[in-house]
Amino acid sequence: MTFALVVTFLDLSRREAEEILTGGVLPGRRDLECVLELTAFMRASREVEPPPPMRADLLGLLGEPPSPS
Amino acid sequence: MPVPETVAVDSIRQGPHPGSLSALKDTGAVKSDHLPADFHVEGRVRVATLGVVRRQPARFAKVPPGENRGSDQRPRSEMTPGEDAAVQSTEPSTEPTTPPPAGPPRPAPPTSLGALIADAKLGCPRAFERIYRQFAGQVASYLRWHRASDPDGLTNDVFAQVHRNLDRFEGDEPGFRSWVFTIAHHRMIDDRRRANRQPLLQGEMGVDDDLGCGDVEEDAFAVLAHDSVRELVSVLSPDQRDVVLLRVVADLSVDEVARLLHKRAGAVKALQHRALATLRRHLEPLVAVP
Repeated sequence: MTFALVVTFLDLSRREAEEILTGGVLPGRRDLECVLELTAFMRASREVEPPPPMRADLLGLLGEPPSPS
Repeated sequence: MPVPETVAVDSIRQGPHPGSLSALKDTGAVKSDHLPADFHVEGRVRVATLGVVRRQPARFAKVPPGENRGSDQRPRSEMTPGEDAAVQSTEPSTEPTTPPPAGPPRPAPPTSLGALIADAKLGCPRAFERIYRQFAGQVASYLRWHRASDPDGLTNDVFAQVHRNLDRFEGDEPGFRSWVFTIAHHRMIDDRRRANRQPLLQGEMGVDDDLGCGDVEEDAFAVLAHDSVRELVSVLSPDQRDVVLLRVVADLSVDEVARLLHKRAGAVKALQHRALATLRRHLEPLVAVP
């Protein structure tokens, strides 16, 4: 691992990584804005994705009770 | 129900005095569950203002309970009986409330996920359909981020398996979410293996044909834009990509991801840390272009 890579890793703490992944804010970390925007886009894409239409075979399954365990 | 332009807000309280907030949620004016516990809002508030409450909580005054009466700070002893009653109605009541008179029980549709799961287990198709509507979009999004060959078809496969195995599911609501995404993840891996055996023709890969909204040119740009953003995660190793997508798109916790991927929680944390460092390294030059 190069020295530059080590510095890059150290510059992002694990706590900050957790904040980014859970949609937190990191004031004063403009260098992380691009990653925050990407994760925000991911989250938004999940929320706006419409449920796909149910296929006929899945609709057919709903007519039957779930399989007994 | 139409969303009103303004809403009379005598008091929004969470924690020890819930009630007003849930009433506002019923109007569609407030969608956030994340109001801080000790925030009060009074007066008539524009819905647009309430809409940003999650992003900008500092807009609202943070005051101790029972002290915020807007601009009227007179002691209640100086108020007219009507004014005093109005203030009293905004303060938390210490008196026991009288239960509403008992009438004939009205059958209410189950709204909690737990109730829906219980009904779906009993074979209620409507309950299963509601579960599908709640999760299918998120599952499809997860599969799309993984560049699955047919996210919508796979989502149907996932829910067919959910339906088949629902009777075996035992757990709480977060457990159900984790279970659904575990099935989705395994389906995605199967799909990836199939795709490796049957390489797609050039031009077929990554084209989403369901993002359309009418205008062909706009649709094409939307597909390209979404596709290019999804391409960004391809710089990650498969393990890192799995962890980031399970954490962010599937909204699972570290422990849930660790269980799903058969890894230790520490390993998941290390993977997500390295993934974000990698993403930052790749994204910074892209956004630094003038």
